[in-house]
Amino acid sequence: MAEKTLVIFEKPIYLCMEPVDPHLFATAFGVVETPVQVNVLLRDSAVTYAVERQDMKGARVLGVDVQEFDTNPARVVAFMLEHGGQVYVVREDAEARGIAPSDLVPGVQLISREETVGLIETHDAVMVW
Amino acid sequence: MARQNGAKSVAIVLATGSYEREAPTTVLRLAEKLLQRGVNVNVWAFEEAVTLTNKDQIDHSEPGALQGILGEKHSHVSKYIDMLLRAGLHGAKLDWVSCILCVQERGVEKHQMNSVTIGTLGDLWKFIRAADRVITIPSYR
Amino acid sequence: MSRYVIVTSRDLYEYASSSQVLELAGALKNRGHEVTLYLIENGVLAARRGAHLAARLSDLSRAGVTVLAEDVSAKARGIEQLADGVRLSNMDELADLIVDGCDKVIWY
Repeated sequence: MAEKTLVIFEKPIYLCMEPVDPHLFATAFGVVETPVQVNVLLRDSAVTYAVERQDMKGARVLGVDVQEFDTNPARVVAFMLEHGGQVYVVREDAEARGIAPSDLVPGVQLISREETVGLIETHDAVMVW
Repeated sequence: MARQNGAKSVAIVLATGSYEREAPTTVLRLAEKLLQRGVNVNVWAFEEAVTLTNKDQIDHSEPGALQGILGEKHSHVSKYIDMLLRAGLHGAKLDWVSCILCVQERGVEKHQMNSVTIGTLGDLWKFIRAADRVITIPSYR
Repeated sequence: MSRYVIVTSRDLYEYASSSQVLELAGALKNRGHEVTLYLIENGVLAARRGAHLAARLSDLSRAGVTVLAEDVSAKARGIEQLADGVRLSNMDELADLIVDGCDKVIWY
């Protein structure tokens, strides 16, 4: 039985006609609505999901907004934190992309690449989207 | 028969369609082997993977100029899914669930094959919770 | 001690995170776990004898990680010789590993 699941994001998706990356909100659903404990690891370029000030309004086709609802991945990250999910960000990957700790949604935990192994050890199931 | 101490159920989460990705082929080949071993398989199809179970897929003829190197036509993926679902009637079970959000936005909710269940994110996480092994096939981007 | 099967279907040349898959396999082994690295689909490309990444697979094998390459994937890609330490496998073996031979499967 997979009671505790680690969900790993590596490559981000923006402006795909869903309000946010559908794998991200599927994970948020897991955090909030189910008896499974769901935690999130953001690494590689998906560290960008935890950057606090993201604004997805601006894409339009013939004047019509593609992004109908004003949301972004950081809001989903904050939502998951509020509902008891742990969100981990790989420090080296954030640094490589010029993302400072102060840029991140409060409450995410910066961990080293090496520490990600420990996360894999302590979760029953690991999902890589 | 299911192994005594081994896995009895496997959840497979798939988000990619066929025809430009190999993942569905691999999933079907693996599902067959798991069913043969008496393991129940729950597939939760998400995003483009909901098109795998579209009804009315037909073999198409290859372009005439290329038939010498491609053959006359190729089979569609729903044929293989149907075969596996039928195999699941007589031994370990295969449940194939297509995500309702994904079929609706793609306009294929009414076009799913028989024996496919249209399900929810709730089903996804119930499959995961109940599974002895969880296999999520990543979508490449 | 747990038994891990790490399945790599992605081309190890393609993503920065691919090197992390190899590091993960080594790190779990170092921590005393049993590890199988299973290459399938484009994952087998790194296992061709002479491939630059093949040396990393051979290193992992020497460190005690079982490194396997799926036969249908290899044959489809014209791979006739595998790197040292990589053994040819098949879907039956992968299914057996998943059912009986591991506690956790991580699919990349």
